[in-house]
Amino acid sequence: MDKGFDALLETLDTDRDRAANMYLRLRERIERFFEWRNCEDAEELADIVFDRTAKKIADGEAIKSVEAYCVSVAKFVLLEDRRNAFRKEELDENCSNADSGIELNPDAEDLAALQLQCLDSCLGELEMDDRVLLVGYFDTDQQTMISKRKRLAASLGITLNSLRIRVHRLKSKVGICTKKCCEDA
Amino acid sequence: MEVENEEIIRRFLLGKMSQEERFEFEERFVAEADLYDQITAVEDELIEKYVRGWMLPEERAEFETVFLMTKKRRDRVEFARTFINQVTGIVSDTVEGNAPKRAYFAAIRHWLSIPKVALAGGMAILVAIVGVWLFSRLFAPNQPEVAFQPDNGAESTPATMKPTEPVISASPANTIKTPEPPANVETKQVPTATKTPAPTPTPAIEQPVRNPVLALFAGNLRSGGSNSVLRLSSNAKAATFLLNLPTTDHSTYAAIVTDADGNTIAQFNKLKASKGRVRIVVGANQLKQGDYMIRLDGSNVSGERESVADFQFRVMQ
Repeated sequence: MDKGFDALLETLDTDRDRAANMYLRLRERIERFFEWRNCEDAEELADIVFDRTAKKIADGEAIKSVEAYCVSVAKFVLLEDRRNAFRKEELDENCSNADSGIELNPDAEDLAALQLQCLDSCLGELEMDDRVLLVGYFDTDQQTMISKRKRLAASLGITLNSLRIRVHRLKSKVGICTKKCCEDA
Repeated sequence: MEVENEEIIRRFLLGKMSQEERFEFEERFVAEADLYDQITAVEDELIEKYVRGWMLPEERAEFETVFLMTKKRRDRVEFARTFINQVTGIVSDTVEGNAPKRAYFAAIRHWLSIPKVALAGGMAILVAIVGVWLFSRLFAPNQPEVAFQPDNGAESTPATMKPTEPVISASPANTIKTPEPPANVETKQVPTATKTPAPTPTPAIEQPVRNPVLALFAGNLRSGGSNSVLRLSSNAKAATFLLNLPTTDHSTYAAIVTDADGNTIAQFNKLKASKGRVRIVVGANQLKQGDYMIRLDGSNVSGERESVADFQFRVMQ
């Protein structure tokens, strides 16, 4: 494994498994940082952030909080990305064959069908309790949404906020499974 | 865990914060996993409101302008639309409060049928479904089925059909009193293929998209001499086929759908069997009126591909 990345994990936690888990969660937040800034290539930008952070740590820089350091680096990377995008726009103005931005996908229906099939299969892999929870959560209308979800949360002995987060995680889990299934197909 | 003001999170998500405020907020959510979780939960709810048509026109316009700027987020919204529709069976563009209850129950019945469930759990769910069905029957009777059950289904019901499989659209009452053989057709509602951003709606009732599901059995023709029939409505986007396996000796399967002239319509690889059947979904645009065959191959333990079964069906539009 890359020495810098090893050092980064070591800084996050001395326990390897915990460190790996922390890294994945931090990476997700950094990716969303870029996504919420309307960056199309959030994953690549997050790679840059972690490469730079890992290099600094490997070079002996003492970092108290990896999270705080990463977000600082992310801000710089964001600014660089904005500058590059601006330059690219200038170049594109002189290029008649520049990407029109229109997404052409002749197989859209096939992909939709495949995604549906994968989603179906991934939902089927959830535990029964989770499935019942999802059905209960989404079985609502606009008027009763909050009250019904509060009741559902109370019945589970958790707060509404925790319920939402639980549902979000289930949805993410199914989303990852669906994506993988589509890629494997 | 301190709960962040939702309004602040919405302002963040909809790009209403000043640069300084935004940077501070970003520092916080990168450092605080709990805050990040809250943001994603609020984001989910925003997306849900959008895909279910619960936003006011100005909110909707703002969401489309600000939030749907990147492809990744549009994909997220599309996934949420499909996910919610699949879980609830409620079509997104259905007018508020008019969600079709029959579809919802059909969806639950279908969805809960997929997995590997412990017997006890399955029985409990079955009891719940019967209760729900009776309730829905009382309050929403005579709802039409979309998919079509061919004639003479009774005689041709395959012996391999497991009695507990909720694909069956026979009523619980019938199951108890007169054990009619199960129909091999179920209906479910799946999401429209509406691309995000969806058109700003006028509150009119749209016909829900009905994507039929057809269970097929090896052995080709039904005893009455007619093919299994798939009725495809004009607005259907896809059809699901449940290929019931004569044996489950294979690790993976491959399916080829051909029309009456032998032209390949669709091809699927690396399919996995679940509950003794393989599921494939074919885009509705590929299915014209006519006869079709699905050839199913399986990979045996040595990794060799061999023929498993052929299935026939007829599409009627």
